[in-house]
Amino acid sequence: MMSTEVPAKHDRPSVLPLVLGIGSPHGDDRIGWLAVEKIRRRSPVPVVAHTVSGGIELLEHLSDCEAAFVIDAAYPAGTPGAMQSVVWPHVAIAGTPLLSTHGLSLFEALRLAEILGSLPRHVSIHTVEALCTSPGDSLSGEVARQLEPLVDAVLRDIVAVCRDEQTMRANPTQGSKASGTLRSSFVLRSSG
Amino acid sequence: MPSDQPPDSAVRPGDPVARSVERLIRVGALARVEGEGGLTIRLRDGVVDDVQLRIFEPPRFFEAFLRSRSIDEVPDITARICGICPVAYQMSACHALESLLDLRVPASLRALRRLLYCGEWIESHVLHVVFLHAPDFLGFESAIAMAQSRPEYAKLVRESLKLKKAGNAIVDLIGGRAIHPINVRLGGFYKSPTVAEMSSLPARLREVHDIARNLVRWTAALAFPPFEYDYEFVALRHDSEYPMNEGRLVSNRGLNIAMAEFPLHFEEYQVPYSNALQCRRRQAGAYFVGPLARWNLNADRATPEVQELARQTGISFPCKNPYVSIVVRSLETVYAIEEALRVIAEYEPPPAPFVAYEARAGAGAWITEAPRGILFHRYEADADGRVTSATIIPPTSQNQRQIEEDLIRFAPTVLALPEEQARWRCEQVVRNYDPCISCATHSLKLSVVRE
Repeated sequence: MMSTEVPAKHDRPSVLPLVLGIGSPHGDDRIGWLAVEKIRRRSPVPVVAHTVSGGIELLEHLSDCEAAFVIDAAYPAGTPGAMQSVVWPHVAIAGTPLLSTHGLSLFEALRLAEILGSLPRHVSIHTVEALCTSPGDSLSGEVARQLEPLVDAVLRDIVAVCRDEQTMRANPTQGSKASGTLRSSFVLRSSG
Repeated sequence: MPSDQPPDSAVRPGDPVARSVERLIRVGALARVEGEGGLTIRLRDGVVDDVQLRIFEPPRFFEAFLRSRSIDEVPDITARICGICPVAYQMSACHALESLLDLRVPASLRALRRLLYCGEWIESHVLHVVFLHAPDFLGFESAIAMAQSRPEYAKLVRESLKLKKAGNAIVDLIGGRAIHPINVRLGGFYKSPTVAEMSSLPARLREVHDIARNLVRWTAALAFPPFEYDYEFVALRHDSEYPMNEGRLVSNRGLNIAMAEFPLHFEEYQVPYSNALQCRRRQAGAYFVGPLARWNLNADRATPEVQELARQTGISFPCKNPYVSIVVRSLETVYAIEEALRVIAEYEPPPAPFVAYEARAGAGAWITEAPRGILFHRYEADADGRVTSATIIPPTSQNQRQIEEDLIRFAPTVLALPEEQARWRCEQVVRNYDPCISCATHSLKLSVVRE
């Protein structure tokens, strides 16, 4: 019900790129959800796209795909609107706290998926630093301005990964090399 | 992300009080709503001097936000309060406003609401039992460490995900989507499922039934710290059903009232260290809501199969040990699966997905059983159908005082332990209650300060 292009049943494995927007209705925390809505409409390749509210739902979806693209608001740190794109595993994600009373963090979800053998071959994480995330807050100007650049960045990422996948399938003898390139070609990119 | 700033109420070096403090155990809050929640236990000369649980409470904001909004909007707005239990907020809101409107829904819609709640109980309970609570009992810092340690624990996590997905499937079909469901409205639903759509659920539920039953056996075999207290357990009780959306409010100390009488017997009050209001029984004090309270007061309303399963655990119910809540959540998960199967088997599509109504001035209050305990809503509206007053009292703020009292009794027992152990054991006490610190706050960072 939340997907485009293909039915969104959770237990249906898919080779299509999976786009997951993490968030809540509060302030800049919704940026992941807003990006997903735009990607559904604009993606040049078929994708499965979901909005989720936390790590546990992320974990549930991860087992269903081969490449995942996660979009989330980053914790306010003085540079609202700053974008980051990293590929898992990455030190920027490893610092997420492990202790929790009420859910799984992004790090926990991805690490758990790894342990359970359900982590997609490729996971990239795109974030925009939030300014305000309290109930009742609206989207800040700093973050709103980054919505289009964020969507563009994720779409470029999706297309690049799909191209690598096609290359690998067309030339299976270079499969391992292509796969390695897939992971290593994504480096930390900062803007804004 | 963690915040290293001490909460405002924490004792700082140099403060007159701090000089006499022997030890401070602090659980500072963080994540998406910064610095708004947390726990401080102050020990002076080996004795607990003070316990302060600080909670950022979105309902306070939403109460103000709802004023002057149309009553039609209330179920969707309040569902945003919590990403884990939006159905509970929708159910309490709908029933309270339908009470205001004197609107009755037919049995078929009532059954659909019960089915939707079953889905949310499964989702919420499995998340807490396996991913958040079980690691405490096994000595792991997280579900990651637990899953990594042994293949059987990895299998447990994998099966639990499957179990939770069965709950998702119910909420997806009845609620319109698995998170932040959008299909609930005053008087019923925007769309009711067809028999064919409903037929997709039983196989999924039967498939995970044994997983849930095994979860009960597995949790019952955990080692429970010997921590018992003569709590006042408060829950709904229905004439014939295990309570979800209906019943009278009862306790093991003789409380037996209609839902609307809640404000006469309970009161909210402000504490200086938290922006959340705490709640207590008038002339009594702290009380305990949630699965353990529900089961202690309603075990005879569960299916015979679930009652037998509870007997097989060897645990004596009613039970006064809050750690046993992990078993009860598992029992309620089995019950929710069986109840969902019953509702689906008896399902006949309603003649219309909702009952129409006309706005009227008045007041209405209701309580439903959220996964973590009773959730009270009360609304007043004008003749145009605009909300003029809203009161929302979630289960976590009702348990807040009880959690603090548990910690007052518990903290002295861990004084001899190393700091890391002491902090971890104190957090377990909090976790027994499955507190929803806030809809947007997901994690706590522990820190200990020695003075």
